[in-house]
Amino acid sequence: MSERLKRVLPSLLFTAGLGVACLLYLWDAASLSLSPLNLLLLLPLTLLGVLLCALVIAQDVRAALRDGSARAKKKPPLDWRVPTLMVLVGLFVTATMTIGYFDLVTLCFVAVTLVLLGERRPWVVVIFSAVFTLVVVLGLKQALTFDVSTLLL
Amino acid sequence: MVDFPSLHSALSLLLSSPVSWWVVIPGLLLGLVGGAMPGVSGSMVMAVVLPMTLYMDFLPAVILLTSIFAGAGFGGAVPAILMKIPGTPSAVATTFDGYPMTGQGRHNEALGLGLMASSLGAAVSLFLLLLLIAPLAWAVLRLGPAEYVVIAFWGLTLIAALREESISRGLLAGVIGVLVGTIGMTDTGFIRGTMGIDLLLDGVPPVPALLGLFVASQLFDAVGQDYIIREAEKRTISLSRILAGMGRTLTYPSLLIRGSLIGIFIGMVPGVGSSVSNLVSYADARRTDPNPETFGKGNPKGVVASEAANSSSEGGSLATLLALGIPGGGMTAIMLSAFAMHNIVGGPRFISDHRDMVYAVVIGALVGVLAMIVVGIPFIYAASRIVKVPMRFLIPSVMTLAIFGAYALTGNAAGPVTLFVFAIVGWFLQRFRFPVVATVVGLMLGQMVEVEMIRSYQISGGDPLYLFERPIALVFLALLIASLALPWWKERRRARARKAGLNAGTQAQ
Repeated sequence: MSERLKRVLPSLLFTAGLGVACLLYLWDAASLSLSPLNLLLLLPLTLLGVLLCALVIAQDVRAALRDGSARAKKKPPLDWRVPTLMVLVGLFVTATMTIGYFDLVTLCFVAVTLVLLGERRPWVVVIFSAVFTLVVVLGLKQALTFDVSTLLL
Repeated sequence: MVDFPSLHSALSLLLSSPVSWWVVIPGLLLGLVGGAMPGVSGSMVMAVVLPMTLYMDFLPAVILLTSIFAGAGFGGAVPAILMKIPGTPSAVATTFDGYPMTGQGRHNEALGLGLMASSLGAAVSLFLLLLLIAPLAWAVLRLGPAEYVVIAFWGLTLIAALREESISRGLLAGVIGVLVGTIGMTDTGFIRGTMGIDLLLDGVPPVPALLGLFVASQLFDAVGQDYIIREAEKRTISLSRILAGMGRTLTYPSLLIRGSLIGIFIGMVPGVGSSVSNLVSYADARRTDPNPETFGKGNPKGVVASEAANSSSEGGSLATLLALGIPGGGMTAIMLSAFAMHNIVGGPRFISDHRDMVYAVVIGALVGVLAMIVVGIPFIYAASRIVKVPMRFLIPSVMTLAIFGAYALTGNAAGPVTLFVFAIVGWFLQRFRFPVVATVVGLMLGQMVEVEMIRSYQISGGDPLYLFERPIALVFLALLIASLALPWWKERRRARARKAGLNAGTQAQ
């Protein structure tokens, strides 16, 4: 596969993935019923979506083949902190929704994220995380009528 | 048009009740803060305040809520301008030029523009509401399911067409948003796309998804940045520049009035109005400008057009609420609850029997938006300090607020999990050059569009020619087609002009 096409391959795969997701959704809906009350919007919209996916893929391939390698825009390399932050957010959400203890989980999340993003002063990490957690979690407990599980606050 | 005896009675009522005015400033501040904080919103603030209004008289209760409404209307523009994170879908178009202005160090001016445009836009719409509440109510009643569907699709095609780089990408992003918005159990009892997850029976919670798509994905994107504004010398906070921005708004009177008119008429459409009006106004401003290519790169007119429309849609949605008892969205639904708590039912009867009360509510809201011009200045002066805060503090703080906001909305794991999933999706969409804004608007409108389409189908008995019996729907359909055709036609003209220029150059040689 040419270098130019390799550069746009992730985009092509993502777009194709969107098209497949549309078709799977339509298949799921159609397996329930073929009634217009079920498919009135879904069917034409899914077909439009698949058509647009094909169009976008064709445009990307054409653009990749047309642009010379010197001119083609190179995406900056992915900063490793982005997927790491995504994992941290995932862990934060999972921990608050399973273990609870909003105060402890928030404190850990904020502190670790600060360090990840470059804060190197331990006293700043501790104080900011603690104060922020105190204000936000207490505020949440006051504002909400349902239970917010905490360990210390 | 104006019932002067009722107007006189309304003014007497307002002036005899000074306590009604004490609530304006606290209401505005609550709305500004709530609207500006991702994860919190104007409707959440109003929901928290609503029980307190039970112990107040009707007039101060409604003035408090309309002040929060006004404050939140502008509040969403603050993160939109400073961080490219619109506090509400109605501030989406503000990011198009507001955030580039921040990148150029013109954040003070952008905030001043937004504040003045928002206040004046809302003021114009409320003033028109005083004059035209009965005709506006008549117009809203002419809108049916077919019109709602066409207006919603028009909004989506506008977003796609605004990003001329790739209209097909914009349309695809919008289609994905609408399809996601239809997940769950329909009114007709079909359960689709839930993947066996019970929490999805009510559909994908739209606000957590919006928070994920806009807020969290934008924060992921900001990881490599040290500050919102790269150059240290541009990170200034300047009251004089804020005031200059406010003054500059007054140099665009036709833009203000057009944006306000667009906002009030589209804002009347329940469920659709505020999300679409800012985009329509922005598209209109760009279309009529002698230098449309400057839009999206920090043109102040983009901020003025968007904010004038999204705030004036407040007047439109109030018209629908007061005249018909129909809420346009979350905030007006809470106001309807406040009405019910005081045994008031909005509708034609309310207008005919209590016109003085209607005028009092509108005048109270009008005073609130004018007061916002003054109250908003210290608020944006304080808010603009965000540009001096390193991103390493902003990212975890805003992310936590967004996640807690999503939890507060749903009360269970659905909110935070939805936010997380859509944060990943939004990041990928942005990375592969799909406009996330189109997905967000599609998601907000998706469920409503399907419900109204099915209603149209049932009313028409499946006859596609039914559309030709709805002239208003046909007008919006024509606008929809024009929104798609115009960029294509302009691109063809540009290509022809380029070719003619090349040929002329070759011949000259």
